[in-house]
Amino acid sequence: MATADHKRLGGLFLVGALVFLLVGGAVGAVLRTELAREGVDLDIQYGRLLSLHSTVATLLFLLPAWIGMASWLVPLQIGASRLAFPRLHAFALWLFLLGGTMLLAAYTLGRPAFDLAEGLPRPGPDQGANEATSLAIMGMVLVAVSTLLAAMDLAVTVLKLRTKGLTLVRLPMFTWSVLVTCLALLLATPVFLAGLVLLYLDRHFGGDLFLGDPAGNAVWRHTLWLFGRPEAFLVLLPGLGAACDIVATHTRRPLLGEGAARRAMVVFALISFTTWAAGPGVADALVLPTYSLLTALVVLPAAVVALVLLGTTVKGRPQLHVSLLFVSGFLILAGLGGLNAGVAAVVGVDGRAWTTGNLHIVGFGAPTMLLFAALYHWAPKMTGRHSSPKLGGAAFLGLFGGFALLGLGSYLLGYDGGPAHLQDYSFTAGATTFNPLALLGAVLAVLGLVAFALDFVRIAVLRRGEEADDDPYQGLTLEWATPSPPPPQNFETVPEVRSAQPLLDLRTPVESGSRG
Amino acid sequence: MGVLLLSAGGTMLFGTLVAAYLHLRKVTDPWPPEGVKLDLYLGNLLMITMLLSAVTVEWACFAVRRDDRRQASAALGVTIGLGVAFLNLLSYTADQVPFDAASHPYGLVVTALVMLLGIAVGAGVAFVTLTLLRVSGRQIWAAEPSQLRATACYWHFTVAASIAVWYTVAILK
Repeated sequence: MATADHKRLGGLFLVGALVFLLVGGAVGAVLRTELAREGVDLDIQYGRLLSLHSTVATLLFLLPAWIGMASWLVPLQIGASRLAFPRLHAFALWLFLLGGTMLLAAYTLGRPAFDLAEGLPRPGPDQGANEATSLAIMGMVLVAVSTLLAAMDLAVTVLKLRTKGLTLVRLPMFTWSVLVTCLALLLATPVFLAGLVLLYLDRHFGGDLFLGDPAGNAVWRHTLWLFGRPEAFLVLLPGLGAACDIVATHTRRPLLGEGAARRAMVVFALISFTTWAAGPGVADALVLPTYSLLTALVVLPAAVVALVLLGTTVKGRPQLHVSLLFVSGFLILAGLGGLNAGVAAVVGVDGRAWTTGNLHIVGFGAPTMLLFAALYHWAPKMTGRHSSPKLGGAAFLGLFGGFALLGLGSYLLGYDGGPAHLQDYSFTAGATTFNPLALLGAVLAVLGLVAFALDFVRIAVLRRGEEADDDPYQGLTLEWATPSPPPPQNFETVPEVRSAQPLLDLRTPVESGSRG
Repeated sequence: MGVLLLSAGGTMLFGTLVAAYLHLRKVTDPWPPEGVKLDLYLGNLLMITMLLSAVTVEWACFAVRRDDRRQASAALGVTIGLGVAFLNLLSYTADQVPFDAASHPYGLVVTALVMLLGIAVGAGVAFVTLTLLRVSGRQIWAAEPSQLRATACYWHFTVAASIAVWYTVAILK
């Protein structure tokens, strides 16, 4: 409970986020079951469950999971023995767990009068404050403050506690991406916090600014989007950094175009701040003329990183590992999303079931693949054991296949004219075919999660499986110079850093001068 | 570094609320609502209190650079006093205004600004108190002034936030 060890804090952040994912995933599967056949089974609970599903996916899983991964890994990658403010980080962890629990508890009381997917607050049954709404807002405030504190701590850790010789341009790609993400989060999260404070005061004191007043709607939309739009992109950024480290490690060579990838990540974060309006399909939208252009532009830096990954893989001799499967799964899902975005721009289906597909493929599926890639890649270091290739393969097939089918089903339904987020479609031929396809995807994804959970319980809790060496992949970065799992102080001695691949320098000292 | 980053986040927080105030002011008529008259005298007094505290916290930094622990403690003590006086006056002002958060959009956004400013200054007072204890306990001195510098940096952020709120609510109206 009182730990300040970054590895335990990171692990607890990860476990918390994964538990919330299981809850959100199970609720998603229930929703998909409802949609798979004609008729209304869930009645008024559908809206509540949909709201819960979208809130968990948006706030309680990806971002906290990356914070957990970063808390665990960043000090090791920069040769530090701790985080800059370990007690503050522990406080952030407990805020996150408490806030997330409050958010879930709010849904047991009723449907809060707003959610992050719908955007605008709705009039509550009593046109005023109600318990579920107040609890949900308080939960979100705690989660936002937790994000803010953890992001600040991680940024300071990277900026202040790097070992000698590890300049900013020599940072491992994951740490670099975490630094960029945290700096962006420090600017985006307070905006959301301000919106939540206004919403809470309005609801708590029985005001009506956010119950249909266009001026209130505009304020809420701005605060929600100035946080939500960057956040939707920022959950991908640490994944891109992790993918760079994973590919470089398993190809045993420095990244091809490392500088370009670093710059692309900064540009990605900057552009993500400019996409804070809405498409013309959203009701009551504030449509900026730059929205479509800038949303399309944000793809470019991500594409640069994808090219760096592909180029490095082609130039190197990659050794097959489950983490690489997840990285390739990410590239395929991202490609699928890009392809559908192109098709949608031609046939104009934005705002329909297509959007649900896009959210599950691009907004959630692709970054989730990278998170699991990172978990499998660093599992031997985290647990001291190798994960099972069979269970890992099953987790990959379940999650990748699940997200692909789930997204594809919704995409196809969207092309067929299906609306989004409706409890009961007027059952056309398309709906009867594509909704069960999406349900199959949801079931597969849940099975993939179960396979992952079994694998990690086996190696991390039961301590079974092949023991891992300190450096099982002949890694390039400092974390592989520690024992597996690392002791409380992390390093006995930190290797000298003269390039972005210090361990490669140790193995090939003659060539080290040629690497930056 | 941490305080600088948090201050950047705080700037975004107050910036958002000021932007919300300006937006609502633009689309709501009349603004401020009829019957709302803010006492400029109290607002100015609040501002002067915070500006004075910015000087005293710098006085503490100056004293620590010269290893003058007594002066540093006195300066930090005065800063705490000014901070508490500010909070007291802010609370009194909030009690005097003839509206609450539910009255109208103006009431909502002003309540939010005042509440968050109070929280920020309250945290600042706690931060300065902790620093005072560490100065008294010889944990902060000329060769190791970083926590005092961090405290001063945070305090200046709260002063800047107070100026922004005062200018928005009392001057721009």
